[in-house]
Amino acid sequence: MIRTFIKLTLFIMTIVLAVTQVIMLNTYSTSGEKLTTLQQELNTLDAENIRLSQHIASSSAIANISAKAQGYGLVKTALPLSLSSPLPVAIGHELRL
Amino acid sequence: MVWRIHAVYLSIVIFFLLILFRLFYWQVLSSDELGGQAEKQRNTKLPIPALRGEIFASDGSPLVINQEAFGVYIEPSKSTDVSKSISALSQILNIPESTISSHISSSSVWVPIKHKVEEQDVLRIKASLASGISFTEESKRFYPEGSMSAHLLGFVGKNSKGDDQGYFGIEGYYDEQLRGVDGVVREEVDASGNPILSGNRNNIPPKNGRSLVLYLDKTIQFIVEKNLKAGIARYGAKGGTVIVMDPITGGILAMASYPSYGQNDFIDYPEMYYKNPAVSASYEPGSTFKTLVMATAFNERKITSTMKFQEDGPIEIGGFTIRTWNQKYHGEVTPTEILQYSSNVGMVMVQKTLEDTVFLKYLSELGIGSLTGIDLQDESTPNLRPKGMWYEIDYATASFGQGIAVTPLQMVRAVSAIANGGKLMRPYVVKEIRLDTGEVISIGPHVDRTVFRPEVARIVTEMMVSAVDSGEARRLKPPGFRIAGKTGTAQIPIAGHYDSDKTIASFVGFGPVDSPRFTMLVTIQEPTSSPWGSETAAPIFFATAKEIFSYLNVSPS
Repeated sequence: MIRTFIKLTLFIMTIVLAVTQVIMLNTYSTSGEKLTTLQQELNTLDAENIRLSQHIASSSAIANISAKAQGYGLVKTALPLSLSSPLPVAIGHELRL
Repeated sequence: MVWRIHAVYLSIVIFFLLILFRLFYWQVLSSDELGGQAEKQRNTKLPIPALRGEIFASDGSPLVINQEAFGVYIEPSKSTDVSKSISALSQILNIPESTISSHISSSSVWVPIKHKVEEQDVLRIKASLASGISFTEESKRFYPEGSMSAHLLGFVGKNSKGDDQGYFGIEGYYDEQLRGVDGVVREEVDASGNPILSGNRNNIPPKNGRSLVLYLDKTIQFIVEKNLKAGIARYGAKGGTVIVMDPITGGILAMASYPSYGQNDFIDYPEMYYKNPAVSASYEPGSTFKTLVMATAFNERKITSTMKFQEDGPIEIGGFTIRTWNQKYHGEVTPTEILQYSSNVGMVMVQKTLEDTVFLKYLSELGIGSLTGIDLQDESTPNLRPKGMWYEIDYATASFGQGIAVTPLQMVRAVSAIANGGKLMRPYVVKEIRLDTGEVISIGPHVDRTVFRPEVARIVTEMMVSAVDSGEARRLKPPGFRIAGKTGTAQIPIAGHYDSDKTIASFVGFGPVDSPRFTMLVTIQEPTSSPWGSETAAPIFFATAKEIFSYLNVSPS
């Protein structure tokens, strides 16, 4: 009785696992195409990122900013303006020590 | 009748034996070969190219990055009109049709036309509807700052195997670090070429090249290049070099030379422009060298600040006459006045207080005649003659920087030893190496050796401040700032004698002296408006220093 039950169980499990394998393989078989599509999208986004990085780098180039600053009327400071007066020599020396 | 039955039976048996044998042949004897072919058919191997490491300035902004590019190929067998394809490629890629045609023969399967083609050209090729043309993905260097710091950065070309390789500057020196290692994906694919997820898949990811962060300050580099270029034009010079170095760390904050070249189209420039004059060209330093000889004499305790020298007229050395540059003689002079007046006669007297071996020892200690070890490709050094080849006149002329050759980097590094209290620093361009894993390797600072005592450095610094405040270039100094400096004007040796008209004008200095933020050397080659350093190199130095002070928020003392 028990042996029959075990044999029947094993038989049913074999059938179920075989069917499951077929179903899963069938599902995965089309995933390769999706993976390729996703990979292509990823490559496109990577390329776009690189293009944007390039654009940001070019826009922040110092020569570019300098030219734009001049275009906006900004000029080089003739003399530096100090917002605070220098410390007295004795205190300045003390702080440096 | 029976034999017919046996015959049919035998035929059937033979037939099945033949099939069995054939099955045995295909499934057992040929299994390896067929298995290999099947594996080849269903498995694919795709290289994943590694990205070359990028290069950043000290503030993290990019100096060299990678951009998308393409290799263009033609497959003549797939082209419906080869001549039309050739014509389109010739027009868009700017290659003569004859050049393209010469590479295509009747047996050609796949012919590379051009590498590193930019996207807009690829789109134009696709739009031309030329057939039989295919593309592969590549990577190309992009320089957001244009040709700024070209000598320092170097460029990427091809080696004999057709692989990317860095040449000159940082690209050359750090080529192995920047290059990276390509990866590979091995996977099973279906008939359409899509990967089978349940199949075998083996992925070795690429190791991208390591990125570099430099000591270079982009703003200071910009200021330097702008002023150098303007100065060369203003003074009608053949070329020039500026180096700005942090005397405390040895980091190179800026380095520029003209004439220069563009890294993306380096092939259009003469090869002699590729070498960085700042680390490979030698020149006679002239009066700027006096600061080092003076420091040497102080360090050896041969002279003091209050000592007096008698400068009454020209001095005879080894059958030669040495005069001051302006034929003026000041009688009793102190070391400070010798520097102030830039007196060659005074310097000869200072040098004579030193023994020959001691003098030569200090030249070596200061790195004259030796490579500095900077991390740039193609550094070279003029040789320092051995003691046996020095005559009395050679020691005398070396005291004022003639008859001795240095590179600009050696000179600025030696003067930095005065700025920082006596230490000879190893110069570095790269501050950090960043690995793909996120790990960071820091480089420098490194003290090669201590050459002067700190008090000697302070004394010579004050002498150099006095030379600036009282010397020929005093009107150019930004008011309120204490800058130590020295002008130099050296004649150029040509075929065993000095040219009477051509000079290398220079100025070396550092500031602010109380806490030096930079040491800078300016050399101008063969200025035509005036031969003097005080009238060509010094104005460039002070104009640049003023802008650097403003940028670094350094207040007047």
